[in-house]
Amino acid sequence: MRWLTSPLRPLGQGVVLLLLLPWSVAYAADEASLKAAIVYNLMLYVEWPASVRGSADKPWVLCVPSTHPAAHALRHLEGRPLRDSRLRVASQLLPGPNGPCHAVLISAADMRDEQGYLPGPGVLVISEEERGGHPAASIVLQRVDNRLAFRVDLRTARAAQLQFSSKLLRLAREIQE
Amino acid sequence: MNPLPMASFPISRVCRLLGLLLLAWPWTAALATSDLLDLPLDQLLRIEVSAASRLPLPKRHTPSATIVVTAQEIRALGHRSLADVLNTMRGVLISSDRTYAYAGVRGFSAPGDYNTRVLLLVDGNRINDTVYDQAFLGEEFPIDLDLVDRVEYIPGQGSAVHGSNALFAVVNVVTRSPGEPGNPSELSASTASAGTHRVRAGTRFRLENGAAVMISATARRRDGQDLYYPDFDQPPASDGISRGTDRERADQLFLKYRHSRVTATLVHSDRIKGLSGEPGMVFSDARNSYRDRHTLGNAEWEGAIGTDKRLRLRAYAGSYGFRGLYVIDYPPETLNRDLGESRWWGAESIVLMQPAPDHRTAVGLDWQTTTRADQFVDDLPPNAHNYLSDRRSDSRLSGFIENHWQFDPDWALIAGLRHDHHDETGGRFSHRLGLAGTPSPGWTTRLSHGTAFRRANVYEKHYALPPDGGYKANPALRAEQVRGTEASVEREFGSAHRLTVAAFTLRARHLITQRLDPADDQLVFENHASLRTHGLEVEHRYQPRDNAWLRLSYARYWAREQTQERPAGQSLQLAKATFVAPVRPGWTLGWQTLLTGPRGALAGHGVTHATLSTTSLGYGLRLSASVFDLFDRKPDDVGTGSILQTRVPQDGRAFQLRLDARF
Repeated sequence: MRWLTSPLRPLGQGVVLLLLLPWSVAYAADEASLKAAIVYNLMLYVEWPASVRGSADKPWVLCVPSTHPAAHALRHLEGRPLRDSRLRVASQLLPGPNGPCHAVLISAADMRDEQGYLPGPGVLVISEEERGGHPAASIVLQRVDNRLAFRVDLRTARAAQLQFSSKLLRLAREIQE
Repeated sequence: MNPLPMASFPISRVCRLLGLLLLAWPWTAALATSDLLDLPLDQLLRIEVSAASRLPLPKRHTPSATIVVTAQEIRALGHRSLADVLNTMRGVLISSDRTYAYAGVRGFSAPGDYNTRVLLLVDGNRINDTVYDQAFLGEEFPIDLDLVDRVEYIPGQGSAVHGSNALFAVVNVVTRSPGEPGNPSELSASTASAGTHRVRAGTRFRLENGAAVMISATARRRDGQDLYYPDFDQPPASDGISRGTDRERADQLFLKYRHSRVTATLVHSDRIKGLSGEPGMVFSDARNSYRDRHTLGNAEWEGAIGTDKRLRLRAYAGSYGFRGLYVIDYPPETLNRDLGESRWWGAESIVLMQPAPDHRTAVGLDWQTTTRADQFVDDLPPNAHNYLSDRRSDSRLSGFIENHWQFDPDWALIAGLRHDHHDETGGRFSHRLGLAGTPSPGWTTRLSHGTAFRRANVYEKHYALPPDGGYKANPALRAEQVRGTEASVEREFGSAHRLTVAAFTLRARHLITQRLDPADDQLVFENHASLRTHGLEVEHRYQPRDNAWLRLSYARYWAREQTQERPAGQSLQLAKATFVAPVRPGWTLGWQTLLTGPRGALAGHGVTHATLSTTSLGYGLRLSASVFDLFDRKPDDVGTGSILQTRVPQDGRAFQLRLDARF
C-alpha cells in the first residue's frame, strides 16, 4: 500500500481516520443473558428495608422498561426464587398492578428520558454506565475488557435505605462513598 | 521418540482428532448444570474472555481453551515475573539465557527467537516492539506483576484476530483498575538471594471530576551470582567462572487513568542487565551489558453511542530502545555498541453489530505506523568504527471481521478473517473457523482451524556486520506461516473438578531460523525449516474452595522438522503440578513442581518452588517467604543463541522474603 508512504500520505491517513468514525451497532444478545443473570445475583446480596420486603404472598418486583435491550433475557427471571418468595418482572417503573418496584433497571437508551426518575425508599436502581450512570443508581453496570462489572454508589444506596452484603462490595469494581 | 506417522491428506488428521474426542466421550457421568442463572456472581463477572476473540463471548463459546491465572494465584505461588506465571501453564516451557526469558510454546522454540512467535498484549494492546518483534516475558517485562489483575494465555493461531506474531499463542496481561475498592496506598519490599532487592510504592486516588488514577513505581537491584561456564574454562586464561557480571538494575513507572468510558495508560521501564557468559565477548568483563527501555502509551474510549450502539476507539504509541555494550578483544580490546531504536504509533477502532438476532459481528480497523526501526553497531572511541547504520520505517493497515453465529442455544460457530497490509511486504489474509458449544450440561467442546503468520522482522532481515562481523543480512526473508487444527473437551465434575483435554496438529512453513553459513562462517536468518507438530494436552483442576486449588497438567508434543539438510524428529514432554491451600488460618502454601523432558543434549529435569504467605498480619501487612528450586536441581537451559551457546547455568536454590503493606 504505497500511498501510505507517498505524498498522498496525509490524505490516506485522513481516509483511515474517517473509517474509524462510529458505525451503527447494537448490543449483543449474549450480553443480555449475562446481564440478566448478574442482575438476579445482585438482588440476592441486597437487603431491603423491612417495610417493602417481599414475602411468601408478596413477590419481589424487578421493573424493566420494555425498551430495555435486555428485556427479553430479563423476562426469563420471571418466577425465579428469591429468598422466601418469587421474582416478578414488570415493565413499568411506577407502582402498578404488581405493586411497587423493588429493583429498577435503566438502560443506556432510557437514560436521557429517565433522568428525572426519582424512586422512593426501598428501590434499587441499576443503570448502565452511559452518561456516568443514572443519578439515583446504587449499582452501575460497566463493560470492562469485554467482561461485565459493576460499581456501587453507597450514597444513593443509603438514601434508598438499602444495604449491600460484604460479598457484593468485595466483587464491586469501584465503590463510591 | 519417533514422530507420529504423517498423513498427506488433512482430513485424516481431523479424523484422528475426532477419534480422540470419541475416546473422551464415554466418560459421561454425573452432570453439572452450567446455566448462567445458576452461576454465582463472582463467576458471572469472570465469564468474558477478552483476548481470545474481539467479541464479548462467554468462555464456553470462545474458539480456544483459554488459560487464566489470577492475581490471587500469582501471589500465592510467589511468581516474580510474567515468565514464572506462564511457566505454570500447560504446554508452556520457559527458558532463560540470563538476559531474557523465552517461551517455548507447543513444543516449539528456535535459536535466535526473541519470543517473536508469541504475541504479547497488555489490556488487549500489542506491545511487541517493531525492530525485534520481541515479547518481553521475564524480569524485562515492563510492568510490575503486582499491577496485574490476571494473565490470559490463548494457545493456537491468533492472527485472524491479532495479526502478525500470533503464531502459536497470544498472552494478554490485564492490569488492575485504578477504581478498585480497598486501601489506596501500597508499599512492597522484598529481598532475595544473589543480592536481590525490590521496592514498590503505589497509590490510587480520585480527581475532582471523579476520575480514578493509579500510580506505581518500582525499583529492583540484583548483584547476581558468580557463574561457571564450561565453554570458557580454558586455563590459564580463564577458570570459566564469570564474576560480578550477573547484575541487574530495573526501574518501572506505571500510570493508569480512568474516567467514565475513557481509560489511559502510561508505562515506562528502564532495565540494565549484565552479560555473564556471552560468546564473542571478553569473558567475565562487567562492562558487557544489555539495556532495554520501554515507553508505552495507550488511550481508549469505549461505550455506547446513541441508542444501542457500542464502539471502542483506541490511540496508542510506543517506544523501545535496546543498547548492547560488548567488550571485544579484536585486538585491541574495544567497547562495541549495538543499538536498536523502535518507535510506533497508531489507532484502532472496533465496532459490535448484530446483523441478525443470532449473529454478532465485530468489525475493526487498526492502523499503525512505525516511524523508527533503526539499528546501529559501532566501536566506541578510541577505536571508533561504524559497522551498521540501518534506518527503516513502515506502515500497516489491518482490517478484521469476526462473526459469532449462535445457531443453537448451546452451540456457536465463530468465523474470523483479517487482512494485514504492510508497506514493505504487501498484504496477507488470516482466517479462523471455530465451533464451540455445550453438548450437554457440564461439557464444553471446541473445534477450530486457523492460519497465522509472522513477518520477518527488521533485525532478522537487516542486521549485518560486514564484511567479517559474524552476521549477514537477508532482506529476501519471507513471512512464516502456520496452519493448525485443534479440538478440546472440557468436562466439569460437580462444582469442583474440571478436566480439559486438547489435541492439535499444526504445520509451519518458511520458519525463520538463524544458522551458521558454512560458506563464510557467518550467522544468517533463513526461511530454513518446515515443521509438523502434533500435540496432546491434559489438565485437571480441582478447586474445592475459593482459596484452595490443585492443577495438574501433562503435555506431549511430537514434532517433525524438515530443514534443507535433514529431517529430524523430536518429542517433548511437560508435566506440571501446582497447588494452593491454606495450611492454617491466615497462612497459605503455594507449591509448583515443573517437570521437563529431555531437550536435545539437555537431560530432563524437575524443579519445585514453594511459597508460604499470609493473608493478613493486621495493619494491612502481608508477608510471604519463597524457596525457588527447593531441591537445588540447578538445571541448565539452552541459550537463545544456541548455535554458539549450548548451555546456560540457572540459579539453583534461591530464597525470597517479601513484605506488603496496604493502608
